[in-house]
Amino acid sequence: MVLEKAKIGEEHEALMSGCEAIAVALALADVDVLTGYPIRPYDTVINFIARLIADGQMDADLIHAEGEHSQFEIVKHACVSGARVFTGSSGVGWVFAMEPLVVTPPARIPVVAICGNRAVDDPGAFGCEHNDQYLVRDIGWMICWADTAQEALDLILMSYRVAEDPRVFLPCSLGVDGSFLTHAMNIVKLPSKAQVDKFLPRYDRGKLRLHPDNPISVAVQVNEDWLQELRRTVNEGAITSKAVVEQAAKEFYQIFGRQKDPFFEQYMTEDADMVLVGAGTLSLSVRANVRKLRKEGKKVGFVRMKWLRPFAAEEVRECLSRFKAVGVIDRDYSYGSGDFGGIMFHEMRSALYTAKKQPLVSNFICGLGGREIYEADVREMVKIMEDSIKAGTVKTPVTWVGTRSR
Amino acid sequence: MAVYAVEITNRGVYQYNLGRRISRDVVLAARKMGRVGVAFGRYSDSPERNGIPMKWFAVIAENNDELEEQMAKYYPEVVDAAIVLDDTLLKGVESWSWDGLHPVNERVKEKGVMIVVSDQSHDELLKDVHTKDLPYKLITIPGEASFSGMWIIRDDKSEARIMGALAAALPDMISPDAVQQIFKDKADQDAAARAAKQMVTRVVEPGEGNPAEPYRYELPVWQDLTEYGIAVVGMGKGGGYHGGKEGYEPTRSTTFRKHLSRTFRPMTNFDACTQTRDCWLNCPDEAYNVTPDGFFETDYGACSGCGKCAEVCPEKIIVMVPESEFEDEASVYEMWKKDKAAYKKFFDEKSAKGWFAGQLVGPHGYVRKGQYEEEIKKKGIK
Repeated sequence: MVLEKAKIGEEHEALMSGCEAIAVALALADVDVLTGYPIRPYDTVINFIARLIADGQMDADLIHAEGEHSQFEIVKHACVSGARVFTGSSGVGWVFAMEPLVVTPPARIPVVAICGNRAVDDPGAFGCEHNDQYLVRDIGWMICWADTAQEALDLILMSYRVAEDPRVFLPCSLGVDGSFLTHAMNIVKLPSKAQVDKFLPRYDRGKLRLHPDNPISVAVQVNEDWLQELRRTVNEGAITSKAVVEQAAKEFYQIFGRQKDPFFEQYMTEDADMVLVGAGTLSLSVRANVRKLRKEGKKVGFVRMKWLRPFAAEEVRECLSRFKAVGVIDRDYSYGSGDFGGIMFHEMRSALYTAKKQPLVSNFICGLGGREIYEADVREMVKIMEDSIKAGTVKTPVTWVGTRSR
Repeated sequence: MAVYAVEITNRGVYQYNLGRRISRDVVLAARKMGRVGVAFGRYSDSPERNGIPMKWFAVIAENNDELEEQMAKYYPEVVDAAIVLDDTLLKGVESWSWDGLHPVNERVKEKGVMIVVSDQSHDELLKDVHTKDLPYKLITIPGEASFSGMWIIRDDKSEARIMGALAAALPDMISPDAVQQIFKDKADQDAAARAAKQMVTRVVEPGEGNPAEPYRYELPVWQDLTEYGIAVVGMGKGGGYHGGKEGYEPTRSTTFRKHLSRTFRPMTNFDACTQTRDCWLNCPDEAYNVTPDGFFETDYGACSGCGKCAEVCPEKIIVMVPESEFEDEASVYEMWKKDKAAYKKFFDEKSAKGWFAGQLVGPHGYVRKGQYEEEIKKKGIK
């Protein structure tokens, strides 16, 4: 039997799943309070945390909540009292926690969570879709997506750094695609404790810390004479978070040599006529097929979004307006929205509205319920973009790619 | 470019960790050879239920770009090696809600290998394994379905032996030296080396094996899903035995069958049956039909082999027999009805290899207390 025990704190490489890499990041970040309630794929992180605590490799309070709602409430309160916290959920579990999810940002509580992306019921399914995390897009949560186990580890450390910055003090959720990221075991480079300590300062809530020595009221009742100004302060945190992400990524790169580009990553875009844009693990298939299409002389590139909140509109505009056509891949849907497209499609098209030169933007909805994105799907997307360029206009703004159809 | 893929088919829960470990070992050994790799399970198999067939994969490549190329198609279409941890899986596996029965050797590439842990002969195994139109190698390692992935059960070295056999069969993919390096324990290293000598190899020519066409069903296009499309249409009330007026037979799904989740099947000794109805009442899968003369017949297409009927039978006349003892799913009631003497002989022969209630330890794999220890002792595994 090949017995392995995680070595936490030493710089080394290990074969581990995305969930295990997240757990190691949490141990390295010295998280104080964690809560769990079983749901795939989130629970795999907690399984591994439980093992780390049992093995004496992590010192933290792991609380088994009676439901997702309590999970998020517990960490919210612990975080107000000065604890570094972690929680998360997936799919409908995430939805059940919606009330504490909504009240966390306005109280300026830097909870860090993962959303182990899973299709929202019905029908019951555990494959990956991004709608669950997008549910907190508009309420003050910062949201980002990783595409490998390595990046999941990196972005957990980044999340604490950004969320716990007193100028921000907003919760942050990391999206990890169920199965493709959470359960696939890859070789991951684990940083040393010294590196992490250099990057991640201690969480200090200052005067906002709830403590017998510092009696304060959090989450009070107000009327119309107060609320708009309070909302404006949350908005200020969200605005500031963009510069904080940039600064954090810069320092992360100096220490760990990764996360060079803070908001999105460009792949083979230098001379591209058209690019695909997407988030999460679909990058694996898209990158490989972009390479294939490049060999056939098609000038295709790929832009992988990491942070969707804060949304780097200016950078996105500057990047995407260089191309003739942009195809946004959504592993989600927004039923009844304009042109019946996906969520990221609307984000991108809206950002591009004020660009001096606008590319032809189309939308591809695919990979729902954890369906793979195949070579034929990527070829279909590129074909649609080519047709748009040829016609000089977008004939079909939205296409459901890879759907069994007549 | 050198990209390799390995597929492991095992049964859920009790072989979950064993399958997982083997997939990891392939990547860890490849890493010793300077390669990169990914190990993962088939996500839709989970939550892993006891005895349900499930799969693990390992993909290895020379560098990250090659690995990404292969992983662009997440679940590999062809594999260099298929490893089957339980020979009752050779009848094929049906995944959670895909499109029918898939032969265990389906993905094995030309001149690839299929490694099976089994005490049966190759000819015996090939009665179950579906035919392929390309040649491949069938390798057996002696042993029964191992429980050793469970932490409470002693390691029978299945993990090391399978890795040893894999390296011996495909040294370009995983060198025997790399396998020796990943195992720290001397006993594991010896077991891996021993497996290379123990394993029995045979080339399976195109057309050899079970010629039956695996059952399939078409997945509908979205336009055919009406507003009720995503709901499973309820089944009718059922009626008389085999459409007659007497007896009772529930209506059963013709699409979702349960037979492949089974390592054992129940057989009733009709001569001793007092018709207490306990099997019929307690069956969680409604797999029993009531015959016109008041007996209870198992529909083997609906039976998941849980062993509940054998457990509740007050007369202790239902025996659970290893699935590999059978070639088809014909009704044993009809056999008994036709020729009682012949059935008695058949029943005695099969029941000698099965277990009755009271001998039960678990419904899958080892069924008698101490059988596992005997097995280890018999094979001289240290």
